[in-house]
Amino acid sequence: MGGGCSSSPSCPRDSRGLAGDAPEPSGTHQRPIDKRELECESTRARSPGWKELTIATSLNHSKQTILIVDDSMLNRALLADMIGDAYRIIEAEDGKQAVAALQKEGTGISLVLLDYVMPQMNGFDVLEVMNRNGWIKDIPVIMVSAESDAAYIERAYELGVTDFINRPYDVNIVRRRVMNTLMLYQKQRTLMGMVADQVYEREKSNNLMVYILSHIVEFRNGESGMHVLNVQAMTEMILTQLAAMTDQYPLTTEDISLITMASSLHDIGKIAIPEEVLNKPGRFTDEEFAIMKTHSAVGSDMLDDLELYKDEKLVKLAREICRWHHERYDGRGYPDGLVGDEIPISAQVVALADVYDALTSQRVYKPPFSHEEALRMIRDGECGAFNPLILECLTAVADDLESRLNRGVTGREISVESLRVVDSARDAGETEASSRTLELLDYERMKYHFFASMSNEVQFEYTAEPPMIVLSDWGDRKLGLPEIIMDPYRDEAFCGVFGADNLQELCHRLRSTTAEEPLIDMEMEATVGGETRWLHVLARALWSDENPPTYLGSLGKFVDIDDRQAELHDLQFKAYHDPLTEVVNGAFARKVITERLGTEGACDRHDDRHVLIVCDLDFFKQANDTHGHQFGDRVLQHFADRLRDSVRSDDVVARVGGDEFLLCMGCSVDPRPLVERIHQSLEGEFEGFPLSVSMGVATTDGGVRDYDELFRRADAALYHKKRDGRGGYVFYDDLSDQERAFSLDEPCTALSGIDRNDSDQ
Amino acid sequence: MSLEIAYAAMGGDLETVRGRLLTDERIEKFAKIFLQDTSLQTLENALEAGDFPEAYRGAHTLKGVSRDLGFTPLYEASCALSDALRLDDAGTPANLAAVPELLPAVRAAHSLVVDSIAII
Repeated sequence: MGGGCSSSPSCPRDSRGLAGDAPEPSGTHQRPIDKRELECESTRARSPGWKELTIATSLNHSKQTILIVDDSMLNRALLADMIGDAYRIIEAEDGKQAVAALQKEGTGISLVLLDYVMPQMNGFDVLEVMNRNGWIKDIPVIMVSAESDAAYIERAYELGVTDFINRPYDVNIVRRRVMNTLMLYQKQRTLMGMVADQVYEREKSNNLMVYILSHIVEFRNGESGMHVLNVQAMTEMILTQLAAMTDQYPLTTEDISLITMASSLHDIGKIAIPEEVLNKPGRFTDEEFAIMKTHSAVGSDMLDDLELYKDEKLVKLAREICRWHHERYDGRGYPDGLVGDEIPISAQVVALADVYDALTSQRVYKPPFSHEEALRMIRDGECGAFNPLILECLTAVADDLESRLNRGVTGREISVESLRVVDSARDAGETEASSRTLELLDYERMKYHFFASMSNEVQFEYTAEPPMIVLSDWGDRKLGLPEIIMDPYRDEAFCGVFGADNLQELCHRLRSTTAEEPLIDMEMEATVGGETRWLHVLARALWSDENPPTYLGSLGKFVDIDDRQAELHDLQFKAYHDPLTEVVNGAFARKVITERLGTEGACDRHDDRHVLIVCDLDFFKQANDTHGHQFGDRVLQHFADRLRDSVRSDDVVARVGGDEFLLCMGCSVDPRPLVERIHQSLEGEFEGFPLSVSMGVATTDGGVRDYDELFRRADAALYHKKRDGRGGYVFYDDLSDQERAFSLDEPCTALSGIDRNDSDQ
Repeated sequence: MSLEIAYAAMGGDLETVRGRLLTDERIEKFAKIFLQDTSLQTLENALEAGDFPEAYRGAHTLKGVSRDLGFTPLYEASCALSDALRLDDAGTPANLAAVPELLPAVRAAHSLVVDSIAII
């Protein structure tokens, strides 16, 4: 199946070229997906204008994709040949590969030709997965089979297949069935888009008419114009909350949407109230109030008198809202004095929304109250009496309420509408997206694959049911695993790479997440290509929307951090070592020795003796001056080697200055023979350069456990050794009090001092 | 002309196949691809290994393919074998006892088809 990309932009699989293909190798896994297709995708992506081209191809469906699923190479080839090259063909040789292709291409696949008898997953298994994932609604399946058993055919139809093609194949029948099915689905997709658009348009004009009508009423009231919108928004919020909290009231999404729309009409009866009453500043007289109160009954009567549409649900709801939105839960409202749930839930909710908005708005007779004050007044029963359940809903949405009722800012109506279209579609049991949405999805999918292929990470998607993991294109090659693995936790190869324990830990951590905090990350050692490598796993668990949520699977990525880890080690080494001699540096020596000495005051626990020696190479400056710095460097390297050889491996050897080195070792016996032996092994010559070594020695005898003090002592001893003639060693303990005092006062020590001129560089 | 001879040699039904597959080029092309078909091998290996689902799959594929291409004697032989190997719900073949008799017939028909195609 080799070969590069052909010149055609959509790179069709030339079905006529099949005869030249290699025979199907039995027992090996052939890729189900035409890799040329993918290569093409990235070639296209690199050329200018690729985006437009891809969209155009996918939007116009100029070449539709057909997935042929059959375990026999000959069958696949025969079907591809009969269908002709007007379509892009991808092949799968078993159910597993078919599911992988569907997962990957989604609605990019326009039709599936599905065989029944296949190894691993048979045709029905594939259909079951397609049903579970909802793919069967968008992707038609034609069963190709020699089976003619009635039970078999019935089961296939039950699982949602569109049609059958019976063996033996007939070119005309195959072509016709394929074309018909494609056309049917194409039409259906177009129609779905049209219906969605029309529903949307109709909803929009309905809303518009209701809004204009209620605005007329408000206009006459001298109200803000926002009142209706606010009541609408609040009604919707409270009803949604109510439906989520209890099923005491049968509220479908459609009901909520209709009540919300009808709520706008709650005050239409005010059109019959004389203007001088309606807009009277200050308190009403009893008589005026009596007139005012008629608006609820008048509103419902107006709707009752409608000649047409009286029985429409919207009109019925509007009528109950008009009539009863001034009733009170305690029975003291008007016009009918209904008590409790005698008042329809729609009117109860609108009444609350009406009161809240009246309280928080400016009116001719009152200033606006704050959100908090209004809530308090409602709860305390200062303004109406409400169903405790609805008050509970009010509390629940209180925080959202203020932000969502953005006073004076329009635009809210748009969100109400768009919600409604989606919701009504959901109510009908079909979340069928319009073709536009599907195309956007296709585009996103394409984009995702493109970026996934460019990144050096292995991305994965795991579904719990059926247990299956899909690795990104690049990832399967990197890990030496197939792209799709069924039941990965029990797959030998998969467990071989990641380690069963690691996987168990990963699985456990994913399932311990919550829908709110679904992210995990962990590091694990994996075996890639026989080599152990560190991987960083970043994953997100997927939880369902149900209550309680169920674990659906996960997605995430494996990042190879082995190189990074090695780099870190390298950096650490560099930070602690002298680059020339590769013994440790002074800073690191100080750290290690301080740890070994322990803290002062804990001396009794550290009664072991430590010896610290500072060594200096005599006449080193001459080596540099006579033979050049490169030679000098080699002398230092050689000297460092000798130092290392002269002590045990866990003793400390460090370079602390140009030609000064430090040794530190534990020594439970008399240290003098040890120091003598070390000194002897260091002296000698290197390529004609005599190695003469001066050493100052300090020990922890007498309870000195401080590194700096030890170092100072050894350094002072070295200073005196150098001053009294080079070559040899001096113990600090052997210095006279005067010598010790002198060196204490001396501002420059051996490291910075006396023979800097002739032995340091 | 050679297509007619080949089909006559194997006892195949060329006229029906022509009606279904329309062109001689296509028939010839897929007759040759048939030489690369591994389902007989799959069938024999699976029977040897006692893997009945796989054996049934092999016989089933052979039956379908030979029917498509009008290799009538092979179709009939593999159809009989496929029926004998068809698995019930418990995964047991319908008539395992008949297999030793049916398998050689399939083999013979298969080699006749292969030899006949070689003429083309």
